[in-house]
Amino acid sequence: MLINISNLGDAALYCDFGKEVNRKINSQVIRYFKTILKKNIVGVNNLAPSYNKLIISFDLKKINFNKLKKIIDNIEIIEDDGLQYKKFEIPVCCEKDFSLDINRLEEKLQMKEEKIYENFFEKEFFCYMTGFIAGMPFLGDLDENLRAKRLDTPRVKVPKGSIGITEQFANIYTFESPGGWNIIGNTPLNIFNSSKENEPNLINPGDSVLFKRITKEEYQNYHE
Amino acid sequence: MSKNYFEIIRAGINSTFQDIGRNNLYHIGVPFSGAMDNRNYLLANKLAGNNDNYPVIEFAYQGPHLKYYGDKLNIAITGDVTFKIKKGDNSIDGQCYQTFILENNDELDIISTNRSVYGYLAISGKFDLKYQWSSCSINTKAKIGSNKGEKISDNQRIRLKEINIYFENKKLNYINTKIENIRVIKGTNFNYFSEEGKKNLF
Repeated sequence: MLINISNLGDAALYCDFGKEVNRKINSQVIRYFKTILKKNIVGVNNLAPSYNKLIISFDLKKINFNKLKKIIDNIEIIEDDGLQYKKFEIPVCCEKDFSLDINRLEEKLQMKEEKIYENFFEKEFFCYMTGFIAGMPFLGDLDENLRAKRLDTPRVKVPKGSIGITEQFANIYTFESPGGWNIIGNTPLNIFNSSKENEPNLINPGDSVLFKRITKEEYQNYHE
Repeated sequence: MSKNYFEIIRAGINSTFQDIGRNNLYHIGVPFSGAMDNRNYLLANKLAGNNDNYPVIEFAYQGPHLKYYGDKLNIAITGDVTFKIKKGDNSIDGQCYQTFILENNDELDIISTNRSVYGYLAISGKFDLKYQWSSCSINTKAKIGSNKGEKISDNQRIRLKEINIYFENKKLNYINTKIENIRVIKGTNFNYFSEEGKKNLF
């Protein structure tokens, strides 16, 4: 449910769907985002969907806040069955070289390594949004017993392909980047491909993800 | 392939190709990109007789040292930049906001920016670059844009796609203005600030 539309600076509009972070609210954000993207409204030049907000940037020379607000207020939202969502299986290797924080997590969660992985790989995840770095998916929701805080001191460099968890989310580092999530494995799959201009992100908001555990040998021999 | 090219003797601290950029990819996690100092970017292209959206080399603090091989080429540098043009044994102190001609074997040494962080080198013509999402602007974090999304590096060659041979020398009396006042309008979260904070801000 879209609660409120307000201005954000002089050339953006801020759609507020609530304060909570959950699938129900996020699914609304995604439906609005995908509908507006499809409608190709003149003057809209950027859309930034998040957990429970959608920011719509516009070109003041072509449209203004009041006109755009009226369009959004009256827009006919495409329901889920009219939108295309995908399901992916992401291979993950959890060998010691890749699972940088598994021992720390065992302590934090008071849970054995194998139990952590068992819970993680059983779960089907939902992509709330992408961001932070190009194509990085924010995937929820982790079971309550797997939720841990970020590292006290973030790493300067998290390797590309790392699978991180923190609080209710898992993510995939699409590039080497600074980061503070708890790293439990690494995928050989390329999640962001800038040469595919129409669809650079493998995983998009609304898509489902299952992680599949692979051996180091399978990781090394992996070809997309 | 064009016979005209630059050889990079020293790349500088942060030298990249930039143009107007791309500003419609937030939803896939790609932020706004393009020239950081839009005014100096546009002025560089205007002086070089180019369209507004032609790619230029953007540099920060220490710029690149380039050697040019090819036909006569008009260039312009904008910002507050110290640079030299070496023609054989002669070294000429460069002036910003005016055009210079480079000839075969000339060197352009962009030593530093002074009161501006960024400076711009435009050529009268086009660099031979790859475009992504209609822009060659380099985003090094996402490895997007020309030069495989990487900064310009030592010893690389930069090829030119075309040279405008009908150029005229131009000079602009322009001084980088110092910003004395920043105008502010209240945003949606203005009430988040304490009264003391608001007072301190203004």
